[in-house]
Amino acid sequence: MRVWYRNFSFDVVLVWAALVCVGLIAIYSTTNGPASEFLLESVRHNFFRQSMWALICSAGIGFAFMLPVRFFQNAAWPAYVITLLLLVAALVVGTEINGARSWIRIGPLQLQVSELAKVGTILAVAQLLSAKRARIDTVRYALYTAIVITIPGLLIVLQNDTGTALVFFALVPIMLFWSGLPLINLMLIVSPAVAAYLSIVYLPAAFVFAIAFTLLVYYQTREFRIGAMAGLFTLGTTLLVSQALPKLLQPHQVARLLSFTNPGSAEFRDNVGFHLVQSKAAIGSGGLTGKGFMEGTQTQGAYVPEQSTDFVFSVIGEEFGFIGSVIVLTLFTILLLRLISLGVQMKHPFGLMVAAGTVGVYLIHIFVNIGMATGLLPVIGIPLPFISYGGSALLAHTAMLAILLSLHLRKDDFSIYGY
Amino acid sequence: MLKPKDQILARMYVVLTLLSIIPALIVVQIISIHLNKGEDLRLQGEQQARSYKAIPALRGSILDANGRTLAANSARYVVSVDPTMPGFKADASEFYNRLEKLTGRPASYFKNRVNSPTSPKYVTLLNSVTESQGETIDAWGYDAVILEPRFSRTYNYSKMLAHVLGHVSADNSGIAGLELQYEKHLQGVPGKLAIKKDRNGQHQAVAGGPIVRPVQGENLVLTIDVVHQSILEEELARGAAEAGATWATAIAMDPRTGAILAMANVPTYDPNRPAAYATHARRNHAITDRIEPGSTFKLVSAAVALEQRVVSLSDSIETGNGFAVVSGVGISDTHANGTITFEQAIALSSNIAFAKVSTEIDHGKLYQYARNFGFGQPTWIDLPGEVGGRLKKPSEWSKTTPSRLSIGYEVEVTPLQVLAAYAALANDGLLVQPYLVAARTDVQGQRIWTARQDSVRRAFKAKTARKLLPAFEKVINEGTATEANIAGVRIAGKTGTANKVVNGKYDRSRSRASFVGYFPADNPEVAMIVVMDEPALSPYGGVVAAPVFRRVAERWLNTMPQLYHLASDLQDTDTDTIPKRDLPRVEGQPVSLAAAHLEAAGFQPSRIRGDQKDWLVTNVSTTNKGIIPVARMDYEPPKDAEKVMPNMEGLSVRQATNWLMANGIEVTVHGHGSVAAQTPPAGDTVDGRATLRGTR
Repeated sequence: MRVWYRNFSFDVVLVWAALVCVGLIAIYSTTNGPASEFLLESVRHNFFRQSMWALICSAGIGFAFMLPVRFFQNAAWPAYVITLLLLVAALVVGTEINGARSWIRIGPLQLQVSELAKVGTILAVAQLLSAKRARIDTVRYALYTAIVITIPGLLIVLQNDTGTALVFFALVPIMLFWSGLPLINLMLIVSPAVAAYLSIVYLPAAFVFAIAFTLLVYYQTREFRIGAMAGLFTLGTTLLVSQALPKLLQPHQVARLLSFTNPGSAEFRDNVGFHLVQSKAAIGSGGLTGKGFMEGTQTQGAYVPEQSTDFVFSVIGEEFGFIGSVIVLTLFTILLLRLISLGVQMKHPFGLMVAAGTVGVYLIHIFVNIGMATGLLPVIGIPLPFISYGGSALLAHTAMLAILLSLHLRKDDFSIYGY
Repeated sequence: MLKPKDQILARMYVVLTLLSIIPALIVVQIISIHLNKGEDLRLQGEQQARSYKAIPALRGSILDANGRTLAANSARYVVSVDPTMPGFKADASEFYNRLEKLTGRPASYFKNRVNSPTSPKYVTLLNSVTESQGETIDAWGYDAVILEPRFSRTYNYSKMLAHVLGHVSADNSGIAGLELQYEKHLQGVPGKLAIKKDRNGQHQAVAGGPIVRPVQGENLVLTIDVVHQSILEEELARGAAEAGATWATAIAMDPRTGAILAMANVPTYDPNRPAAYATHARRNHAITDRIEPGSTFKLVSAAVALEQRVVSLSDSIETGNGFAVVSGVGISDTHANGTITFEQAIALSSNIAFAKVSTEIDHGKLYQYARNFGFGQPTWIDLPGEVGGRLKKPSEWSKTTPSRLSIGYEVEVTPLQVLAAYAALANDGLLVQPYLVAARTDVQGQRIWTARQDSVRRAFKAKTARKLLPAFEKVINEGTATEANIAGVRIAGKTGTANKVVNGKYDRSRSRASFVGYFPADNPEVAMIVVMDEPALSPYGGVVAAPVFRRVAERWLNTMPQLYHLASDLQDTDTDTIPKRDLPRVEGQPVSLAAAHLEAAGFQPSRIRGDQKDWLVTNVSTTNKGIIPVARMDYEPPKDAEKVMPNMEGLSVRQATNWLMANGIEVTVHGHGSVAAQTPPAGDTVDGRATLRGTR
């Protein structure tokens, strides 16, 4: 007889626990070590609060395992509506923290609804794209998907939480990719972003990319219309970013966008580039094995701003060195690969789409966050999943994981035959 | 077109590629950080970690009960020069001459310091010049001059309350008095700022670098009022000079709460310059001297005798011709009193009577009562260095101890302990905890801690206290302390005269004279003790200490609203000595400014409600003619419809300007001092502009 937990993915839960522990260690080092004297009273309790959240999340995983698969499918749209209501509520009655009005106070808890919104949105998109008709009418459903994701994204922009909103917009091509939209269309959607990035980092590369991409698209499709669109998207973006950007945006916004390419220059060092100079100094001075727990001079001198939240990776890089960083990256890679395989193993598109969305969200967070801390990307304040301090983010990221694990545990229930 | 299954596979490959590219990208970036900049960044990290600059915290002020600042911080400058700077040699003599004119120190002094430097590039010339002197020196513009600001502790009333306030060391930490006791609260916590050096070696704050803001020190609000303290100091100094005492101390406290109202010592010192005075001048005799109290200790013996039913107040005791042998020791009185009641024995301070009574008191009980009165242990007043005195345990007693102890010998006490014991008598037997700090406030003046009055224990029964009161009133009315008598005021108290021990023997020619008492006896407001050491005039407390008590009490009555009615009859004799004060014209002035104006002119202004600060005064009347007459202000709100220019004449130009600016009126000022003329005139409409002309 097969036991009920034969589909339970112990390895994923272990990786999750390992990542949360790494996060707690880093948070302890920043808020309870010698650095704490530079911190506000409220920040010094971060370790305790994060530990509490970790316990709550563990209980949450257990709870999710008890729910039947149909529950998640039935709950998808209600969850999405509640998400939208919460986002609107935050705009009206929310509290503002660090300039973003995306927090709602419920009793002793401060919840960042923009983080929680990811869960409802992904369930809704999964439900939408798992409909049978989505297989046939891909373009129309691609449009629906974009709308379902963009509405919360725009609400979050209104809350002035640009970093989190960006995650939503980046989620659009990822979900479409899994839903079966032709690759060429997808590449067209993604290409302006690549062009914009390259034109900030190294302008000639952007032009080379634009031309190569246009030619590639044209030779693949042999359709002049699509090729022209590709050229327009990439070259247009390149020209727009390199020429018109300084005129369209405020100087401080431009500085923030451009500073990551050369944060140490005299122009940026003491203002927008400061985060990055200090973060790189922390990671660079960590060496191969790091300076040791609570021994990092950058970390304990509190030079890296937001070091328990957005720049937590610099703490790992400094105190645990290159080896520590690589271990964290490896853990993330294992997690993502395992989640994809879980998605593929499920016999229902709903499960697959939940897996796709979850992996997509994690991927964006990991890449943007670590890319930011190491100077690959501009400074965009989003947390590193499971590691950064922040109860709402931990809760949201764990909830997605728990739903996916629960769906996988009962994947046989998807079929009426029960195999 | 691919088949669905293959399509999913194709997509899988894309995902796997992406998933491997991203970590690879990040790892490459991390490696490049390590390879390219590792060493630089490591150096930067280490250098940053080392450079911090302290941000000094402001030491808290000490305020009197009515908010007058007793100890404050002023900005001072340290003046140094770097003689190696080019061009300094040429300017040097001119610079020294200018310094001589500014500070009064001879030019040769500065020259010598520069010529024999301890460090070639840094010679300190002056350690503490005032802010304005510093600005003057800065304006001369010599490149070689280094001006460094620092905080300096200033005691605004110089010698007043010196022993209570204490003083600070050169680095501004408290080393005596309240400055030491409350060091933790006064000093605050200095902040910290990360700094880096630029190419010129100048320190620069790191933008966005870590910073810890300093926590400013807390202010202390005392229970002592400057007016009371100054009267006590003045009269104590006068009394000590008249009596020819080597030192004297006096303490006054509210017997119901334990709040110290005044505490003074002679000789005294100036805490602004503590090193200029001898060590003994800095001694707070009130709490650090262990002395034999003499007859003031008879309160303890009387209380235990009554409560143990050894005697009653009306019992007769034979004291004979003023000399008797009790327990094998000769005891003498100052006069031959014959057969007297125990009540009379207290009033006349008969040693023989008390010694005889003491033979019937249980030793343990006598010891227990002395302990209960607070002897043999510190009072734990909030001052450092308090001693507990010495009270021998019954097991250490000799045969003579009970009779000696009953009249205040073979026991060492502090003046504060004696005062606390009499405060217990005033307080129906309840011993209270003396304290000096009524509250602590933060830098904005918000109260963060308020003292709670506290009783220590019940020393004896309330019934006994009420029985003893007439006896101790008799001391003043017909006993040893008639000198302390004030017509119309009920006073209870006791004199004390103890021979000093010199070379192990009692020296009859040297004594400590004291008087301790409280008034009004039926509803005590003030308990006070006066102690004098080796008075040359007379050894007796009734002669040298009691008059000080009387004079202080007489003058204090005028300053205490609840006791004005007692003082009013007495003023006729003394009003000549009080300088006549002219009531300034404050009609039409804003209430807050008028109050300051009246205070400056020597009046005690009536209290104002916070929301009525900007009302205008209509009428002022003085309600009594004491040392500090009270000026009662009537005022009304200014007419709201238009802005009315208040009367500013006679106010300080600075206060007037500040008030006008705070009310949105732009001010042009000519001259300084107090306001001599104003446009627009008082009562006219003001349209946002005003002109003030000062007297100077």
